[in-house]
Order: sequence, then structure tokens, then C-alpha cells
Amino acid sequence: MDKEMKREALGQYLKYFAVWFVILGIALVFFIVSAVKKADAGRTNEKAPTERVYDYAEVLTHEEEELLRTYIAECQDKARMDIIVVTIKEDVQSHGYWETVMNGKADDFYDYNSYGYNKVYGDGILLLDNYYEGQMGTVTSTCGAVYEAFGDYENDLILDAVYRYIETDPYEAYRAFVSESTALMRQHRHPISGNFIFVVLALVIPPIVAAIFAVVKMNPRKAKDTTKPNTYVQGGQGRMNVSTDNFIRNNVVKVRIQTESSGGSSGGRGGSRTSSSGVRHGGGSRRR
Amino acid sequence: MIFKCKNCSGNVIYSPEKKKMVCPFCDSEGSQERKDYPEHEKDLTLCPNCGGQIPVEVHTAASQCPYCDNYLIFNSRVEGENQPQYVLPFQLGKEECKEKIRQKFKKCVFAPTDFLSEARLNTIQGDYVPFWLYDYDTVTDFWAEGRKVRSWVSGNYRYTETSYYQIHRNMSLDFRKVPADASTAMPDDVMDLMEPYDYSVLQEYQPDYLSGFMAEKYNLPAIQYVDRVKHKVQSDVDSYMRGTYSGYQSVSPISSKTDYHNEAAQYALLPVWVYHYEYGGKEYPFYVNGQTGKIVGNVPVSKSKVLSYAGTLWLSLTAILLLLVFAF
Repeated sequence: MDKEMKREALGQYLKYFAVWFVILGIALVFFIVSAVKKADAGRTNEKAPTERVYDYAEVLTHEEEELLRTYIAECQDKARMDIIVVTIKEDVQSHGYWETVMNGKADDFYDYNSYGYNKVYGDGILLLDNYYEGQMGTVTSTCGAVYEAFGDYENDLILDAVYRYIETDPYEAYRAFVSESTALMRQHRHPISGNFIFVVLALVIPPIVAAIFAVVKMNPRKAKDTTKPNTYVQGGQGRMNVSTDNFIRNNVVKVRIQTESSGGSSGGRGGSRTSSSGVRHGGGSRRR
Repeated sequence: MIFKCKNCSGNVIYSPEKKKMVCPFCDSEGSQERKDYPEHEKDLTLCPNCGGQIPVEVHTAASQCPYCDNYLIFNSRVEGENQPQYVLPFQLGKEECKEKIRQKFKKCVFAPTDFLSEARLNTIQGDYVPFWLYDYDTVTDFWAEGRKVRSWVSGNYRYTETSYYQIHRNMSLDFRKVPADASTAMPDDVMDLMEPYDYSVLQEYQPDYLSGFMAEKYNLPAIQYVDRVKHKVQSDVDSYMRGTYSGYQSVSPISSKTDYHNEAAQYALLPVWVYHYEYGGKEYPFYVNGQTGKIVGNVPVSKSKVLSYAGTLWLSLTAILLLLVFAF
């Protein structure tokens, strides 16, 4: 008897959590598939050069260039995008507006070298920094999924990171560019994964749910009163001897309606352009 | 008195399923023969059949001998001034009652494992509980102020008009057989929740119906329960009155006075199945209306079960969320 009851209790337990165990199984399968997909999603563009740092302005030491290359190699697989740093020292204003020419040069450099992590002209970001006296400044060129992911806000964040160091330490500035753009792209590709807040929530919510569950289940429900007011009334209803509703008075309150003027603004993507190769690029720019 | 079988001398009991007297030993129906024994108040605790000691309390009207299992009805507690006017015979048999309890609580996974075991459920016992059934003719005079609010917009202004009305109702409600249990052993709130009983099958008292069950006689006279019943009646009157006015945003009662006329009380025995379950040193009584099958009682909760379920919930939810967080 005791054994039978224990078996029954186990059966109840398994039945109770059947849905949970199924969801857990699905989540596990989903996690494994996702992990396999992530592992398989390597670089697929073989046409682009392996070089990622072009220091034409010679602002980096040889050692710094090597460190930067290593760091980019680490980051670009995490974010699944090509990351290129180009420094120049050119008079660009003789060819037109600084920003237009710099953007064009950045876009063309990207396209000419067939950059793109997943395909030619695919996902990637390029930083072009000009050191020409009086025309110093930085532009970024985004392409593919990075173009889709980065709006004005993200481009500004990247340039903010670069400009924290650019005047004093170009190497640190470019490292900050790589780091910031990688973090933003990873966040875009995996908005939840590894996000500290979501991890904390995943650890905090379950004990709260379990505690609420325990408290609710520890308090049994009481039976309801199933009698009605007329349960014991003869014939099920009473006799109304008097029923009057007499109007006494009324009052009216008049209130002016307050109108509010509408306001607010909306943001959007800026800096979208098409390069000479016909590829759509985005990005930001900042002069110093 | 004991009802004996004419055929086999076994103890004949009332069968709720067959709605007649049945001998559980030879299956004869209607073979009962009433046997009365000389009864002295001090001798009630001795079984007239076997001489065994019977647990008899001061208000016990029917009991079972724990030695010979015969059901005894104590004449002095069901006759004369103690004779009920009505009895509502059990309509729900023991097996049906057990099944109802199983059905109601089978989803209570947190109940102790043996809560619904056959052995435990077999301890269920049928009790006839003494009730006073009160009749009251009431006339209630009710005054209140009602408010109706409407609002509209005209130009740049919103207008709100509040109209006040004097509400007057005078209503007669004749209450019949409002029950109040006359047993101090039975909790009043639980007995109130047992209601309602269907009085259409209320029978004139016959001792036959008591054979096979425990019974109590009324503990106190009807006058002692008047306040409790009037409180119940007044609550019904107030609820009824609230349904007589509508269309108002709010109603503030000004006065309400109820006069009671033609008061009367009748003594009846109503059927209740009682399941005493003990868990963790605490009693968990369950009461089942012997007519309708309505169950009242708090299911004991096995803390170890709740904690193991909560723990499983915690772990599985954490695992699911973490897997999803790292998958996306």
C-alpha cells in the first residue's frame, strides 16, 4: 500500500511537471541548435585580404599595429563582421566637402578590397582617420548587417569611444573603436545572450515564482457560500409593498477642458549613402 | 432501540442508496424489527446487545457499539421533548461520499500521500446533526439616497450633473426553515457552508432513518439560536434589498428596519458525513452534506511536497531561462 501510494505520488509529480519538463527539453534542444549554429557561423568571404590595419599616416608603431591586428582578429569572429582601420594623411578638401570625400573614400576602400565577413560587400565596419593638417577627423563606414544595425546613436557611441583617446593615443583610440563596435554588434546579434540584466533576471525570477507558488499552495482555499438571499424565502421572492424613487435635487459642475499642445520628436537613421560600387553604406563622421 | 433483522437477527440499517432498511448480513430488505431495551440515563454507556462500553456523550442520540458494531438509538434522546419533527435521510451513501471526496481532492497534489487512501477514507462516518429550522415573516422598511451622474462636453467645457433621489422600499419577505445547527460539536461556520439542503425530501421523523448512523439531539433550545438566525435573515434581507434598486452610481442607506412576525422553530436532523483526518498532530475535519455532497474542509498541505514542487519549479525555470538567455 505504502509503495503504491509513493508510486502514485511520483506519477502525480511527473504529471504536474510534464509541461515544464517538455519546455525544458525544447529549451535544451534550442540551446544546442543555437550553439551549433554559432560554432558553424565562421567567416565565409575568401576574396577580401587578410590585412585589417592600414596605417598610411604612420601614427602607429609596428608593435601597435601587430597588437591591433591580433585584437581585431579576436573581435571580428565574436561579432561576425570585418573590422578595418585605415589612417591617411591626405588633402581631401581639394576634392570637395571634407565629409563627402572622406565618406566616399571609406566606402570605396571597403568595396575595392571586397570586405565583408559573410560575403563580398557583406557585414563589416571600417574606420578611416585623416591626419592631414587642418583636415583631421574620423569617419566610419558600415556595410551589410552592420549598416542595418548601427544608426546615429551607435555611430556616435563608436566615435565617442574613439575621441576619448585620439588626441593622445591613436592606438588606444582604434582599440576602443574595435571594442565598442564589437560590443554593439554582439548586442545586436544576441540581444539577450550574455546580457547581465537578463542573466540576473533568469536567476532572480525563478526563486520569486517558486516562493509565490509555495505560499499560495500552503494556504488552502475555503469553500464558498452556496446559499442565495432568496434560498429560504417562501416562493423564492418577496412582496414589494412600497417602491418609490423621488427626485430631490441636482447640481451641475462646469470644468474648462485643458488642451495640451503636442510635442516630441522622432529619431531615425542618418548618413545612409551608396558608394561608387553601388553598395549601401552607413556610418558617422567627426572632425577635430 | 436496535433494529434487528427478522431473518438473521443482524443489525438492520438504513441504506441511502436503496432508500430503505437493509440487513447487511443477509441482504434482506424491509426485514427490520424494532427492539426496545429498558433505558436508564446512567446505563446508556452499556450496549444492551453485548454489554460492551459505548462512547456516549451528553447529547448523543445514536451511536455504534465498538464491540458488536450494532447501531443503537437512545429512546430517551429521540422521544418526548427530544423527538425531532423532521429528519432528512441520508441520500448519499458512504461509497458515493468517498468517491466525491476523491474526485474533489484528486487534483490536490499537495495533500499528504495517504489523504485519499482507502483505509483513511473508510473512517468516514455519517452523523445526523440537530438543526433548528426557523420561520420568520419579515417586513423591512428601507430608506436611502441614490445618486445618478451624467456628464457631457459642450464647447471647451465638461459638464457633470449629479441628481439625488430619495429611495424608499417596504418589502415583505417570508422566510421558511432557515437552519441553525444546534450542536456545539459542529462548527457554526462550517454548518452554514453546508447549506442549502433540499427540504422537498424532508420526512416526518422515524427512528429507522437513524439506524446505521451517529446522531445528536439538540444541545440547546431553539430560543438560544435566535440571534444567530436573525443575523442570517437580516443579511439575506439586506442582500435582497440591494437588488431592488438599480441605475444609481452610488446609494447611501439612511435607515433600514426589519420587523419579525410569526416566529416559529422546528427541530430536524440533517445528514452530514464527517471525515476526520489527522496530519502532523493536527485534526483536519471534512464535512460532506449527506444530501447534496457539498464538501467543506481545508485540505492539509504536506510542506515537504510543496517544498519539493517549489524546488523543482525553481530549478526547471532557472534552467529554461538560462538556456534561452544563452541561446539568443
